[in-house]
Amino acid sequence: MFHPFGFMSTQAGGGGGDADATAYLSAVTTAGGSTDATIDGAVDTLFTSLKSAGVYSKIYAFYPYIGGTAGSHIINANLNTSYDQVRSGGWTDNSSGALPNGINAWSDTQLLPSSALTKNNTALWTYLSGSGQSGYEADLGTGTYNTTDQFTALILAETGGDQSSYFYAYDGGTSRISLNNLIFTDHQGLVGWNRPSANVFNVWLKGNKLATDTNATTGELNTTTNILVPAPGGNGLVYASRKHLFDAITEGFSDTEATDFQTAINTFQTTLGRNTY
Amino acid sequence: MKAGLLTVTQKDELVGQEFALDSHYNPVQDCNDKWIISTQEIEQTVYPTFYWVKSIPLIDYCPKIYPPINPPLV
Repeated sequence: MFHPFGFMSTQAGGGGGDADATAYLSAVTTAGGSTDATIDGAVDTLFTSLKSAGVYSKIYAFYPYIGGTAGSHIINANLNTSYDQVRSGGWTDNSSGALPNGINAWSDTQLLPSSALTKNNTALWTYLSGSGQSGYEADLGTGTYNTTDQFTALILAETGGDQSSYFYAYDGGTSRISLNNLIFTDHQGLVGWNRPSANVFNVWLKGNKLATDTNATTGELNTTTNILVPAPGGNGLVYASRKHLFDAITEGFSDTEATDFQTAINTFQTTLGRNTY
Repeated sequence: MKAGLLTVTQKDELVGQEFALDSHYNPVQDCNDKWIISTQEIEQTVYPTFYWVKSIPLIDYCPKIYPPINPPLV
């Protein structure tokens, strides 16, 4: 898979840190965000860790939410600006992350699955904190689920409904894993799913693989909706209110890659003092 | 929690418009089908064309109740 910015993954000369990390930090400050030595170091370690694990070039878009402003939080950190977020509704931004208001807030990554992703080689990841609304909220994904829009979402339920969490890939029928509230009690931390092949669909929580579905893919990447963080209310969903600390759209990843990826992200959050586990 | 109350005309004026760079107004209806925007959108409005939103009345936010659903299915 060719990524337009993958060839830029180089180390900066002279010990000045990773060149891509430095470029991202520069974009953050240009957009009105502020950083300090701790943040700069955390970002540099994040980038070098992702590259050492061999996963950096397999990331389509990722959003570390640093800088504390709306302008800095919408930046796709690999600087493929095609996937910078475009927001709607009310958000609160600070150094702890990006908080949708639960009334009317959602955000568009501008990444259309059917155009940008490869079937059976896809993953979605989101690092959340705080409380959700009563009902189902799609914290990452398209927010739709029907025969036309088959690439769906990661959907978490809070106090309403059955309090379960739903993870979809391509089709909600056979490529769906649901976890009840006893497994995912706090609905916080890094959660995601990866589909590395046609017969493997995994759900991950806080660095651990929770479940695997081996049903063959029957759906497609077809969707009329870009990937959203989170999706808007409507169609059975409520507007989301969990804080986003990190979001990513990646290739499918092996188990080792998925584990290394999650370790790098939680180390990043821990350095910033905003980890939830 | 408060929200800003809009007339239908005001709602139509805001739909699709930015209140800051890459951030758009998203008027929604509350439990009484009144059109509202959030206080964040009001406070973060930076374009003078829409400074009038800073003067709209604030009301208590009452979320619209959607019909309960079972787990989302295809």
